[in-house]
Amino acid sequence: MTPIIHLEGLTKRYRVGPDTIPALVDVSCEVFPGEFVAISGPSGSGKSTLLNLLGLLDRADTGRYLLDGRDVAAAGDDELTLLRNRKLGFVFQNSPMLPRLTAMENVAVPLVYRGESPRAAAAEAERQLARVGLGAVAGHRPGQLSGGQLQRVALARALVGRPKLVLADEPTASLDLATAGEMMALLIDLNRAAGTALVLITHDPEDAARADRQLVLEAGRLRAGPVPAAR
Amino acid sequence: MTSPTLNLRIACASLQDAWRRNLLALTGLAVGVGAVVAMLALTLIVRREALRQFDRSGLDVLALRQVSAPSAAGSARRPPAIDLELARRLAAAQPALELVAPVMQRRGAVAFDGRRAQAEVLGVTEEFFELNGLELAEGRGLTALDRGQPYAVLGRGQAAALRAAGDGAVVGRQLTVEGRVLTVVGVLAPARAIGLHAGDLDQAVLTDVVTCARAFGQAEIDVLYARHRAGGVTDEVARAAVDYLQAAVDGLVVQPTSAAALVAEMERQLRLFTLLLGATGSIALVLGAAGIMNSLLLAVAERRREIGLRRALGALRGDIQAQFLYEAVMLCAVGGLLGVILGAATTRIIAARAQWEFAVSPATLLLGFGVAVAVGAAAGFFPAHQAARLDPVVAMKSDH
Repeated sequence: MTPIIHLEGLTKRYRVGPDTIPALVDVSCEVFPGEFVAISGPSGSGKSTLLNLLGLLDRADTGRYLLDGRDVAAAGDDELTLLRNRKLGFVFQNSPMLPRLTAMENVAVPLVYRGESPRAAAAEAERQLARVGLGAVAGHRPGQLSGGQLQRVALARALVGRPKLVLADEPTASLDLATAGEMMALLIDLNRAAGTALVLITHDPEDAARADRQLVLEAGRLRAGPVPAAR
Repeated sequence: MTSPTLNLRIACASLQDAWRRNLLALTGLAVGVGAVVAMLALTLIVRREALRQFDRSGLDVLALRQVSAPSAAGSARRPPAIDLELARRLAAAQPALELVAPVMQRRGAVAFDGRRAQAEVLGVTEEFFELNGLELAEGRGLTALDRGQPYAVLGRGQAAALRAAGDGAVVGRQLTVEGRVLTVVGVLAPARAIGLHAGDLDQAVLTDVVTCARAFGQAEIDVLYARHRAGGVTDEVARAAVDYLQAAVDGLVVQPTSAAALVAEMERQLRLFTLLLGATGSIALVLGAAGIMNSLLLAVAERRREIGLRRALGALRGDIQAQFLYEAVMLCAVGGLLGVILGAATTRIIAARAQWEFAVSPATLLLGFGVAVAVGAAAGFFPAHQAARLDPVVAMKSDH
């Protein structure tokens, strides 16, 4: 089976004044279709950097990254954008939204950028919102929604383009315990039902424990984490 | 693939959200466009108004004005002057001239019904009516049969004053000019400025040239208006007429003015005026463009996070650039519309105050609007380019 993610010796450094700080050092791993992988690690360990590289928002200094079998190193900026739009879904921390659009329009954005007609995009967005239980607030603007609702809108937006991989960056960090639990349940359900690979960046050992596989980042180096109990 | 509909939708919503700042930003542009529109429209109106006075007389007319020659100190000799006879001889001696109208221009006491006021009194002949194409609202004009007769034709303003003082009738009434009783035989149709005549005919009393000379005790002709035959070169005809007059009267100095030269001078001045207003309008437009650019740069800075998110969700750099360009162009289109309205309103007010006929051509309005949109595209390019170049990771980390 072709892995959806194949990383080989990935390195990323940041220049801070005269110094060069390594953010990721020789990172290698694979994530397979339908797999749920949790990546944890202390603050500053390089989790966000790794997520940016995985999400094609940034480029590695060295190493090889194959996304669904495609080497992304040679891809131009517009090509990366198209790959991001077609293959990936994002659930960011604090669920950023386009404030001037409704929940439905926010969810439809990836489809519109893909070139689908506004009508088809809206219909699919409404379907995804209903799937995460937010059909009733499709016409609300982000400012009218709670934190939990916003994260569910973000999840609907991540899934609307039927991506092969969803990248979730601490999606429950800003939610209360009950809402965080609901959000995780929803993420896992959607991962199982749609067969979409899920990479979850989390600080929460309980959330990480629900993954198929755990990876730990420490000082920019990725290693295997504890083996989760069978679900 | 770029998404024009979504880009436009976001651009509209963003403009609405920051409408106060945007309104402020487009004020400068609206003033600039307004200045350009007003400048173009007023130039056109002024030109049309200036040419209108030659509608009836045509451009092939001359004014030969007698200039007071300096006389020796203590000299009792009367200064050299044009008289009626010389005017007649000029017409006969210069075949290039087809019509010569001698005019005495005086200011004197005009009285009727016990009221007395100073007014312009013109001593004219029938040629003056013909040359200037004067029309009459009532009665008749002056003819060769009225030479030396105590008749007057009144301008509209003078007629109104006389009408107000009596029972309404004007023709047949009597008034005195410098104590000489004249009977009104006609009233001119409205004719403020005509041909090369310097004065307001509406406020004038016209009488026969001989009658005028008797009333004021002076037979000097102040100015000769003449029309030359079609096809003649105005400057050459004027030079020949001046030479003839100055040769006929020793010491006489005659200053020629031609309608063509006057129009040429007016057009030169209008070009200067246009340049001046154009420069003023351009400065306002540049300031307006700077305001728009500043507003858009602020918008880019405020929406970095949003730009990063859109890039993450699949927006190409071209989408981001297009969206900010749409904002700039829409903002400037509104500014242009306001500017066009402002320019047209300013032109209307100025035209009304100057009693000019208001007219703004669609081309002028379109040009004003087009300039605004072009300024928008130019002013929006740099902020749009900046927004498109934002690194999505850096933008996503931004506070905004």
